[in-house]
Amino acid sequence: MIHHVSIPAREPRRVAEALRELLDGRLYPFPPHWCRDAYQVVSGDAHGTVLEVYPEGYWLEPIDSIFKKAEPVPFHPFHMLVSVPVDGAVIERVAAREGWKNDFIAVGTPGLPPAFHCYRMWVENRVLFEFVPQSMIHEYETYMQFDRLDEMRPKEVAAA
Amino acid sequence: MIHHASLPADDPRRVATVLAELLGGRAYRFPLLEGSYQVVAGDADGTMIEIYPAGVQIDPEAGLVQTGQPAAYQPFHLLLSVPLAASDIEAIAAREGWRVDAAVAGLPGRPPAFHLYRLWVENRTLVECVPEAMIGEYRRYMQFDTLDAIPAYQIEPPASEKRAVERAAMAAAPLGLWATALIAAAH
Repeated sequence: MIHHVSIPAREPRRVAEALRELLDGRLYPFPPHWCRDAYQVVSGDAHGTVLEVYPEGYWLEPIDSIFKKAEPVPFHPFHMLVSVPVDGAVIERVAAREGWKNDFIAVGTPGLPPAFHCYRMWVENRVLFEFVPQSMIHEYETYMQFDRLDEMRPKEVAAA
Repeated sequence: MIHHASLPADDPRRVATVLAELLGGRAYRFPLLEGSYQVVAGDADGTMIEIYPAGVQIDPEAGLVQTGQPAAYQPFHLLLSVPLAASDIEAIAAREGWRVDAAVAGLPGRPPAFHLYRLWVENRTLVECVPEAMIGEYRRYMQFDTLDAIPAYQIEPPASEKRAVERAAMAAAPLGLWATALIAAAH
């Protein structure tokens, strides 16, 4: 199970507040002493699901202090899919208010039935979050299983 | 809940195979991007990690695109609970030649928050691993009641609200407290 993930933000407080609204959680500073203006968005679920938001211009390096100043890059290879307790209307409202690109999409291979649906929200128009309201997550959870993939994946690879 | 995440790798097949071992899962081809893989945990939540070839970026307009020079390190990391013992994590790291450190998360002067293994996949991407047998302390720590009780975790209000609170405090304060309030406002 994935319990927490970190992302960078140009405006960490603002991004953390928006993510807090989506997770219906609470905001805490993190870490209080290593990296200023970083936040933890704590969901309050039983898994300890947390999104950490770091200020722009740090990366994580295998050195003792871990955080190191670095030049920011425009885009990243990272993204994540998160189920949230809010509904699609809240997701759309948050994205519209923040001015972030947000699309409701069907994920899957062209020519085959959709695997699942999600909101693709580009936080600060550059870091990709896929949000799925909890009422819709069953579709994803059913798809991402060995038996379904063993059946579907060869067809998807052939169609891609 | 976080259901999936994606990471870059110099050797995506190798990294996918090792992450499948750590998660007790299986690696699949990711059909939408040549040379990339999905590591599927097989749990009820559909936990999955996608591995992309180094240099791929996710662009809001163009989607998955190959760029020239991948970043040396990243601001992203993740923490996983894994159905393995600590000795298994260490053995896998040793076999792959990846740095792994047993670490204690927490604040100075306080009891440890939780224990974890900091595994640097390809000596570059941080994947924190916690054996499932040890994840209880993380789950208990990352809750509102635990964090609310630790002063260092209490967040400053936004600057605008803070100034309003300070103005109200100054208006209400006896003369002797003004200096303190002004010093606080100046900082």
